[in-house]
Amino acid sequence: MIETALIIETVVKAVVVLSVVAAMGAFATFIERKVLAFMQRRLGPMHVGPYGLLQLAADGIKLFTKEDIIPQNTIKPIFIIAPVVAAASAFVAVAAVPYFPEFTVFGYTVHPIISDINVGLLFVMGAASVGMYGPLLAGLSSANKWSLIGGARAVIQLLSFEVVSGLSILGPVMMMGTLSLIDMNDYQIGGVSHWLIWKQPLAFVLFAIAGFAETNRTPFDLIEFEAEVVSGYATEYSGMRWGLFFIGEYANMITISVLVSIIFLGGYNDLWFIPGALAMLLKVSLWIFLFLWVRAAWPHIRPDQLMWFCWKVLMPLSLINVLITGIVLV
Amino acid sequence: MLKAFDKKLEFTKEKSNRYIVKLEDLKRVIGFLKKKMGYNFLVDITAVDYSTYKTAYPKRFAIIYILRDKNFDNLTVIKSYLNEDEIVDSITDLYKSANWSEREVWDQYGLKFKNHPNLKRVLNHKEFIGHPLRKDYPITKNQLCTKTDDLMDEMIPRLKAKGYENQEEVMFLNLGPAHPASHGTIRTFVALEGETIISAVSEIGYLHRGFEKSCENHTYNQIIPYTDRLNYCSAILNNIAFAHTVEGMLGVELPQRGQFIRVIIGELSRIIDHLVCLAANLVDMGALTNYWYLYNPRETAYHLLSKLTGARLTNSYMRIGGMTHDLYDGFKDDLKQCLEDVQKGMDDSLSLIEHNRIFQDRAQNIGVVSKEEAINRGWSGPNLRASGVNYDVRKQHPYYFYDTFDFDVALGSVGDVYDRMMVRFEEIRQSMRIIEEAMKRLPNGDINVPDHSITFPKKQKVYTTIEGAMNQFKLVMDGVKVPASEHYSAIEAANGELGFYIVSDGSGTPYKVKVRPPCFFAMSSLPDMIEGEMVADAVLDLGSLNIIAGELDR
Amino acid sequence: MFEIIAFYTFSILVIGMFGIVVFSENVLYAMSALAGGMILISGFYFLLGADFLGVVQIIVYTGAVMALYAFGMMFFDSARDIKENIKFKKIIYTLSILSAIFVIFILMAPIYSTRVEALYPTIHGVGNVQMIGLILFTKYLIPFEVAAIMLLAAMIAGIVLVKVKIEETPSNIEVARGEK
Repeated sequence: MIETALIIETVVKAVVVLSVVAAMGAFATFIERKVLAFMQRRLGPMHVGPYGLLQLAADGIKLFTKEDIIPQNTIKPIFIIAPVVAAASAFVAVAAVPYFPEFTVFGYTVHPIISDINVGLLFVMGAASVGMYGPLLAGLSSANKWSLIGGARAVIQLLSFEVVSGLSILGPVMMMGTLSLIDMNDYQIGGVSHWLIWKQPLAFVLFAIAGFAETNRTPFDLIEFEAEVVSGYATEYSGMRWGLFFIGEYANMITISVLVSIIFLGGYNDLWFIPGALAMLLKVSLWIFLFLWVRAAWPHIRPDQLMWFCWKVLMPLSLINVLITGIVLV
Repeated sequence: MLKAFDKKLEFTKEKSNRYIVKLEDLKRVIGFLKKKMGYNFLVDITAVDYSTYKTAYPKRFAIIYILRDKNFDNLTVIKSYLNEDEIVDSITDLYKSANWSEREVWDQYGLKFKNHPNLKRVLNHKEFIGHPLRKDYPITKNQLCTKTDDLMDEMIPRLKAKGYENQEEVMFLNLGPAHPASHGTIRTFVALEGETIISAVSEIGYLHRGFEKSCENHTYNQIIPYTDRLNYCSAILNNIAFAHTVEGMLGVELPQRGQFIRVIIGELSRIIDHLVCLAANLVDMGALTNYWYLYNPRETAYHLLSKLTGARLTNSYMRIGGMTHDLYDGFKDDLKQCLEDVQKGMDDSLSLIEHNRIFQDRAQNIGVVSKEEAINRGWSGPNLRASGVNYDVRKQHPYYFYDTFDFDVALGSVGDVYDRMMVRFEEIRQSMRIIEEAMKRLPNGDINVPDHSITFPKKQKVYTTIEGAMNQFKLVMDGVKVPASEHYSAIEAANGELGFYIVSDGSGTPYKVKVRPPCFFAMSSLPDMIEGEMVADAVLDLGSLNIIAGELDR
Repeated sequence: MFEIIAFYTFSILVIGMFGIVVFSENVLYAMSALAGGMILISGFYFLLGADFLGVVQIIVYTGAVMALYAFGMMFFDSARDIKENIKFKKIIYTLSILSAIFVIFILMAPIYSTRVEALYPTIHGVGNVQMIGLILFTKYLIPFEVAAIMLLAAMIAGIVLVKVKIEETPSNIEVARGEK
């Protein structure tokens, strides 16, 4: 019986988290357009609904009803699977992320995490890295040279920045002695001064940069940059298949924001008078805003500069960080 | 001047700067001019088909070389008569810019060149039969293109020169004609290794619409709207360039107010053009916000232009001997607002990129072109000045009182993408200075040449008197009668030296019009520029040269 | 019950995936199936409670297969089928069937004799990660360190090989620029 209850609870949580994250991912596109518009002295979507709020629905309808085109010469099964991989892995990663503190509904304690495995952090990063298969498979199967270049850029980006994000997170993991995200959150109970960002500032910066790279945000949005590789891996995609890539990408963005908030910014612990859940929402929103701000402000870099930056700047720095953390701990 | 070269040389001096030499001496003379006299800037090569000209010429064709010397003070035209079956010596080994120019002459007139590396069509398509600018080619004849050119005839020798014998080693890729960063329909065919461009070949002509052929069938004032479509980002400057040339042939000069208005509106067009170029170039770099910062002031400028001329993009504001109408009331305030917006947009955009490391890394030392190379390539305008060559037609050959205006010429030092962008930013500033000064000095009076064989009489006269009505009728039906002559004159357009070579036979329609588009020469050097760079750099190179397909393909 | 369902689901999927890897003639199919199979194997680790190993399986093989893809991209046209050219079919088939039987025999032997026993039984309350750490840094310390040194050597070798190429490229570009 207990097993069945657990299964039901997990399924309910999974459905809730999935729908909420997907909806938030979609909403993030709207926010992105509005924020960018605000920064670029224009209005953004205004015509559908009040302040263009229903633009989201309109976009959804458009994506769902668009003709589904699979070009000739593509490798069909792979072409079809690729966007699913991108979206699915982004959502799988969400499974081990705790969002809020525990709360009680009708006398039943709910842990707002789908599966509390004790290597949560590794799981999230692993699942997110699987997401890069989406662009790669799309690039290889599209029978389009731009897609191929986009796919190749995806590979170099993943292989390089996996190293940096892994190494940069090693310092905090060594300090906290755990890979569970819940334990990491609990480590920082006690207000702003206990946040890990003060103890591991370098790791924070490195992880944030790697986060930008892994979610393909400006200044590292190489794999689908229009002026260079048309649409990169997504050149041949249309309708909902294309939409899945983007839901996946925004879900990843949210996951990274949550990870940063939990590991470095005190997680869902109460902040002064702000309750933990709200504090978490604020931190995640702030982080997403930062993603958009950077996109509005900066140009982006070239693939070889990306490699240079990753291997010659970030990698040594993260190694030094690990070393210093080790010395301090000993 | 030519006497110093070879005492036995037979030549005739047609005008103060125009020499007619024999075809077999042509290359020797040009070689002498380049090496001994310092004529190292080839402005343009063109030809004329005299078969239907009213007076007889010794041979059917003439080939014309226009050259400038190293200080850009003197202009010399070398002309030589030839028949269809005679072959011209190619001068591509002297001037790299001659490469595409000679191809164009072959394409349009069917004149052959000896020792040209790759004499094939450039503006018309591969399946084209005949040579459209010959007088016996009917203007109404259409020829459809059914096959694309695989460009392998150019690509394979280039690859071999780089040491790639086997085509399997590289990946071929078409950057364009429908690529988001090709700014119009320009095709660059590249061979990649990884993302590095091993060799590149450009194909243009996708937007070729026979501008020059159309000109031969329209009156001078009817051509003005066509010139709008050359560099459509700064349409009025094209109007001015054409009108200025025709006025030079007529030997008239605009009243002062007319000249000042041309300066003001022309500089405004230059600002718009530079804004478009910079915005597009920054977007190619991923700096999206700059696009709006730079495009919003352009919007204000277009509002002003549409108020003034009735059209936003293709204004057709100028006429031979003047312009359609005077400035409207309140123009001054609108202009002031417009300049303020431009200043603000430019400052905001610069604050985003000026000290941005990513921008500097992307733009500096990319697409470097040296001084000598730029001159040899026939570059002009901001691109040439970015390479450090001090040549601005407004300074070297002042027209419209430019010598009395207080403005500086912006020069680059390296000749990379960064310099080309920064020179444009600075030129916007200088243009604003000129406009402000011109507005202060703007005199009252007529705007049009008072000669009514050139400009329309007042509408009042047309509707009330028979002379006025006849005057209007004759001008519309026959056009402005331009005395029979040949004339080249250029102004500083947004992209560089925009010149027109016009041959008139005394009637109301030009016998021949050849435009010297600054883009054409910049574009012909793109393949060499991007070799060895990455795809991402190639996009920036193309953007920083400000290639406008309407002007390039004509 | 759920564990059994999950086990069989994963088994069928994994065997199916590796079947595709072996039998497909298309590089892209084969490698995608390989990646899928490797990731699905991690399901077994999760079922057995070895979370850490499961995650490591995902992370390591994602990167590893991705590197394979990169090679595949370099050497093959992903859209084309690749025909293997086998000269001695009979010998190959016989050998592979024999070796398969041999492997099954080895693996089945301890189960058949019902002597399966965990060498390091899981201790309640101690996490997976700590357990692995304990074993690695006590009993298997020397093999662990040796493996680390070998990896380091491989890395240095890799850098040296690439560096030769890097030193060649810029000069080439300079030469090319000088010419134009």
